[in-house]
Amino acid sequence: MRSLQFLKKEGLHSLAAPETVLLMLLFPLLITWVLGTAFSGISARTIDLPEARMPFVSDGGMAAQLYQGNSGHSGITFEPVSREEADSGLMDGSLKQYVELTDKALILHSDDPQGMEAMMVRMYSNAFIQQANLTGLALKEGRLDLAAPQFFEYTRIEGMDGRAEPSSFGYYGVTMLTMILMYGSLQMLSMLSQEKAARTSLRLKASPYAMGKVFLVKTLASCFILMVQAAIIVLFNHFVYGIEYRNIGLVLMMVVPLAVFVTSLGVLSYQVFRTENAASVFLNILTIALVFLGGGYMMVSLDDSTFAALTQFSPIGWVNQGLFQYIYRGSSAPILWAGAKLLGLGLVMYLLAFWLFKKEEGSDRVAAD
Amino acid sequence: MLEVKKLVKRYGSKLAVSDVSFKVEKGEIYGLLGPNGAGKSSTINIITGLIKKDSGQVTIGGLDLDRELTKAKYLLGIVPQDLAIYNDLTALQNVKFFGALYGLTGGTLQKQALETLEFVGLKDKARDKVKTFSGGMKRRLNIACGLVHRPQLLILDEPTVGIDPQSRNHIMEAILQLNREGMTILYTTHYMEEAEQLCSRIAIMDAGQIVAQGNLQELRSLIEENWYIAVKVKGTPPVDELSKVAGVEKIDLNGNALRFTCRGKHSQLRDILEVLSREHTEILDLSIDEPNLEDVFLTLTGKRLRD
Repeated sequence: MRSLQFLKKEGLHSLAAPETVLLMLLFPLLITWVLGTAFSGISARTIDLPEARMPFVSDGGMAAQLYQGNSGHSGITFEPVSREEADSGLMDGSLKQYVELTDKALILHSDDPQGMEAMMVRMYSNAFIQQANLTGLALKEGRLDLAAPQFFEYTRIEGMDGRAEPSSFGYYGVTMLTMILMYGSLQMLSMLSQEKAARTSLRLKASPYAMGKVFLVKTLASCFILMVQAAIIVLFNHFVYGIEYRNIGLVLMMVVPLAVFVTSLGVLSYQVFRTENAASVFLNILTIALVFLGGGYMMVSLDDSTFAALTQFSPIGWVNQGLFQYIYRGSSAPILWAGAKLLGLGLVMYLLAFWLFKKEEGSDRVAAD
Repeated sequence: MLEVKKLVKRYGSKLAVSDVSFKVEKGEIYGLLGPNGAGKSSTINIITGLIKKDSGQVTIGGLDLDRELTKAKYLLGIVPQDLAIYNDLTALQNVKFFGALYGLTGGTLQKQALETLEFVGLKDKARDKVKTFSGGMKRRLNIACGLVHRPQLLILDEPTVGIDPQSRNHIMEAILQLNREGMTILYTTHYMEEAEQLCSRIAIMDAGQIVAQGNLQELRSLIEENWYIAVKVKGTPPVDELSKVAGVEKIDLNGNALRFTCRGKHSQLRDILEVLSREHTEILDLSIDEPNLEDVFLTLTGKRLRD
C-alpha cells in the first residue's frame, strides 16, 4: 500500500509539471515530422495513386468480363459506354480516352497517351494480357492449379535487393521513440535529485519505509511513465502519420527493456556523480552519442554494413536494428536478443547503484544530503 | 520515552558529539539548547537513525535503536530544520504521503491528514499547491508532515528559524497544545526565549558536550551569584568610568542601553548611580534582571548562543 502511495506521488509530480510532459511528447513527434518530411525524397514511400475512371467499350464477352472484373487491384474503374457515345465524346472533347476490348484486340483510344490514367490502363492491360497468356498456357499444359488468374497489389516498398525498407517516417517513428526513451535516464535522475533538493530525503530516511523500496518504487514509476509516453508516441505516429509498427502492443513490450536500462542508468549516474548537474551533463552527452551511433539522427539502410557495425556500440542501435528487423522483415530474434542484453545491463547497473547506496546508508554523507 | 547514553560521534578527526547522555520522560518537552555547531543536529540525526553513532546507546520507548530501528521509527515524528516538503504538491497530498509512509491508509489517513492540517491552521489551504504558500505556512506544513501519524515522540529541530512572529507564535502554541495532549517533545533551538517558554527541562550543549541540564530554576541556580542591572541613559554613557566599578564583571552596550553583569553582593548599584550622577548622565530607565539562559550559557561556556 505504501508503495502504491509512492507511485501515486511520483505520478502527481509528473502531472504537476504538464509542460515537461508535453515537451517530452511533442519533441519526438515534431522531430519525426520534420525529419520524415525532409528525408522523404531519399526514402521509399507509398505513393497514393489517384483513382482513375475509364470509359469501356466491349462486346460483353468472357474476356471483357474478366478484364473488367479483375481491375479492382489496379485502381481503375471501368465504366461501360456504347461505341457511339465513346466516339462522339472523343469528337466533341468531352472524353480524352476510352478502352475497347473485342475478341481480337485490346485498344486504348487516347488523346493523352502519356497521361497518368493512360499509363495505368497500359500497366494493368499488360498484366492482364500476360495473365491471360499464362492461363492459356497452363490450360494447354493441363496445369489447372496455375490457370486461376492471380492479381496482387501492384506497389509495395522495396529496397534495391527487393527487401522491405522503412519510409523516412517509418524510420524516424522508431528512432525518435528510442531517443526519447533514452532521455528517461534524466527523468530518473530528476526523480532522485528532487528528494535531495526538497530535503524530503531526510524524512524518507527517518521513516520506517525502507530506502531500498524507495529506490525500487522510483524505478518502477519512471519505467511506467516512460512506457505511457512511448504508447502515446506510437499511437500518434500510427494514426496520424500512418507509420506501421506491425504489432503496436508487441513493439511497446519490446521497448520495455530499454526503459529499464535507461532508468537504471539514471540511478547509477545519481549514485556515482552525487550532484544532479554533473550526472545530467554526463547523461546528456552519453544520450547524444548513443543515439548517433544507433542511427537515430541520419537515415541509414537496414542492410548498410557501416550502420550494422556502429550499432554494435550502442544499446539504442541494438533496439533500433531489432525493431526495424521485426517491423519490416518480421524477424523478432534481434529485438529479443537486444532486450535480453538491455535487461542484463540494466540489472547490473541497478545492483551496483543499490550497493553504492547501501554502502553509504547511515554514513555521514547521508546526513549532509 | 527517550534515553541517550554516552553518545559519541566523530566526523573524521572532529568530535561532533562527545559522551552525551540525557533522558526525556514521557509527556515532557525537553530542550537541546546550543549555538550552531554545538552538536544538536548530529545528536538528532543519530536518534532518528539518519547517521550511525560511533559508540553509546539510544533507546526510544524501550526499543534499542541498534536492534529495533524500524520499530522505533514508528514511534518517532521528525520536523527537520530545513523545510522538507514537496512544493509542487498540495498541502493535503504532502501530509497524506508522509502519513502513508508510517502505514496509515484509506479513511484513517484522510481523516488524520485533515485533522493535522486543521491543527496547524492550514485546513483552508489543504488543496492549494505548497509553492503558493508563505514561509510561515510552509513551516507549519513542515510540522504537520511530522505529526500526521501521531508519533509518541516528536523531534523538532529548530522549527522557527527564519519565520515571522505570527507564525512563530502559532508554532509555539501548537507545540504546547501537543504537549498538553500528552505528546513527548524533543526541541532543539538556539533561541533561549523559546527554550525558556516551552521546555520543562533543558540541556545546554556546546562543542559536542552537554555542559549543563535541568529545569530553568536549576540552570539559573548554577550562576546564582550573578545578577544584572539594566540601565537606559540619555546621550552617550560613560562606559570607561562605569567599567571601573568594583564587582561589575561585564558591561553590554547596545546604543544608549547598558546591561551590567555583577558578581557577589556588593554595592554595585549605588556605585553605578554615583558614576552616572558625577558624569551628569540622565537615567531614562533602570531595572534589576534575573539571569536568563543566555547568561547561563555565557557564564558556562564563555560564548554567546548566537555567536
